[in-house]
Amino acid sequence: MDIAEKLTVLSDAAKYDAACTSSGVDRAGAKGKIGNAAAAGICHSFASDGRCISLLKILMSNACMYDCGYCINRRSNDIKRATFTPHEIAGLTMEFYRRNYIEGLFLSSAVVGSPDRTMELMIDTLSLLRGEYGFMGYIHAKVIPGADDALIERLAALADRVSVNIELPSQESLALIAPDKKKDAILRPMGSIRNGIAIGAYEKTHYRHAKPFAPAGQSTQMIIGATPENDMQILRLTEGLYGKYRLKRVFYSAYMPVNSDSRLPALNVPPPLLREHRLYQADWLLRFYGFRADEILDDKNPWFNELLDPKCNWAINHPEFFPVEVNRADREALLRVPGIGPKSADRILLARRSGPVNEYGLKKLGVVMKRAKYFILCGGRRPEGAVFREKEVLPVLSGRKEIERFSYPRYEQFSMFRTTAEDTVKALTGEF
Amino acid sequence: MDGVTYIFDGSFDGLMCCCYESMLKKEIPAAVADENEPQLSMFFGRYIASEADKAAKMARGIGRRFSPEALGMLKVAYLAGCSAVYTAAVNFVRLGFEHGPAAMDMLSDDSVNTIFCTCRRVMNEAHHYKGFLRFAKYDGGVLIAEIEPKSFVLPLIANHFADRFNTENFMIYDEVHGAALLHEAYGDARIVYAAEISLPDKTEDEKNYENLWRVFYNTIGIEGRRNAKLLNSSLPKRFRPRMTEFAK
Repeated sequence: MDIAEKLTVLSDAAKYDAACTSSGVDRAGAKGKIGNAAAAGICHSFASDGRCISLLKILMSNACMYDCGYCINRRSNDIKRATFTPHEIAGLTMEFYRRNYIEGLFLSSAVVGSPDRTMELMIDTLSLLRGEYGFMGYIHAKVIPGADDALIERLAALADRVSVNIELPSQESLALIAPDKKKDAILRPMGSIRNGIAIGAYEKTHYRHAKPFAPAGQSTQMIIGATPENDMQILRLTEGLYGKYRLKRVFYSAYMPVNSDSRLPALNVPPPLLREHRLYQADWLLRFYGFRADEILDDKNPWFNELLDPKCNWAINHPEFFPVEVNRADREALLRVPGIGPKSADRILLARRSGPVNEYGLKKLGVVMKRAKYFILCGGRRPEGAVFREKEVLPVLSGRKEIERFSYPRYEQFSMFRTTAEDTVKALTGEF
Repeated sequence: MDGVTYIFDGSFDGLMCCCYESMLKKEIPAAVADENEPQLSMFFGRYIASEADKAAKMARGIGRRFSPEALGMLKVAYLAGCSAVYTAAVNFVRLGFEHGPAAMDMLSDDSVNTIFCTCRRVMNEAHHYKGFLRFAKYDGGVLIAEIEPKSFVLPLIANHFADRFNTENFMIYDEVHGAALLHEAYGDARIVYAAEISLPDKTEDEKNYENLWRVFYNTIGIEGRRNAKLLNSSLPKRFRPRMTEFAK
């Protein structure tokens, strides 16, 4: 197989891994070596599905000995198998990097022989890149579940970010669909990586030549819609993961049916893209807006509102919190207003220092007045046109274009009350 | 007198001299324009000469009386190169001298808003180019890239690329502004002016790698999630002609 063919097979095999960022670590270039890293991350291109491309995302090999139900590379599928050599990967990474196609490398792999053997192949590749080739760009490496701690440590010393994929949102689902990947084999490495990162960060501030350990942190990924967990369970799991493992990101990947399997949704079931979108919106609320998971979803309402994003949904259902006076409210309160995000909240606080803010000023600051006007007061006055009439407000808040984009049937009758759980389940998760 | 149009040579020093003139004469110009710009009303236009020491004095004054951050923003906003920004800049500086650092918070003032937004716009374009710019390797190992930016972003991306590719000989050519960033391996980067350049043919090896990138690009998109609208809003079409994966 020539390089082009290997690249086709092994990037095709890697594309369902959602993690795509190149952010998290600032690293200046070193004289004599090529490469640096930008903490904000740089998008080098965007794919046909609209996702950012910033890394060369490939599998080391797709010749897997596991048989996970959802995976295109599973042992029981009859597909082309390929394996890169460490030199091929290093060469490709360097040439692409030189041409500014990428920020760095995203290396994952199928399980070749054993988890430890696979890790050793990956470590060989990264050592070559960092050592002989002098590469100082970004590397994101996937840790193989069940790998030995010593190998994890060696991988984390070479990579900027490491992740272990949680794959499915519950132990039961994991046992049913991907029995080769044991829960402990996934969580134990996550714990040991968390500890390694903490120690590495401490040592970096105390010792000049401290050995690095995944300076850009740890992330994980799970598949949405392959198994019956509801949104609340997934969100609660997310909150727990951020808390317990101090992850940088949790990625959600809408289940794309690639295999015909009785344990999973049928091949013609469309991927739950809207649901994935709502999960990312909720994830942002947890990380940047000061929300708790139980404020967004709870036992009585375990599914996202299809028509309203989680923040607007919260606002509509908590009228007692509004209106918020923009000239007096604190940052947390401002962040609860639909149309005000962390950047505009900070700008409001800044602008307040030199005088009262009125609705025209707010617009200039970047507040989405179309939404915010129903929820705020400016110096005791309601903004122009801010009379709360259900018929007018809900279409504005619901982002119809967004719904259409995910091509779900439009509901002619907008209602203040949440759509029933059944409707939403049918629309979002497909038949089981 | 108020309402006059300042005309200057288009340099940052010239802009500083316009600010100096406005403060000195205690007047608010109706517009501040680059002499090289075609649409120019010659009525009530006053030419402001660019003097290095005056400009330096002004810049120092802005840093001290107004804020160093403001000076930084002016240097970035200036790169946008349009009359509206120059005019806002003069008013921004006036505000700064009147209110001191507090003027940085007056985000609802039109001039302040223009400078902030322009600064953001120019920084965004520079950031886009850090990602979308594509080098091609030519005979001798030289990396060459071409860009067509709306604002003059070369000064903003120079350090990033000089740091990242310090081991390489490279050139980034800005077609629109007729300027090129030149970097020698293990050396420094500098900006030179060149009306046009002619490039040699691409080597087989280069075409090979460009092809590999296209292979990767075409494979990595998930068919079932095709989304042209999202792609268009994330990757503005004007960047695509120079990008390997989109160019023919």
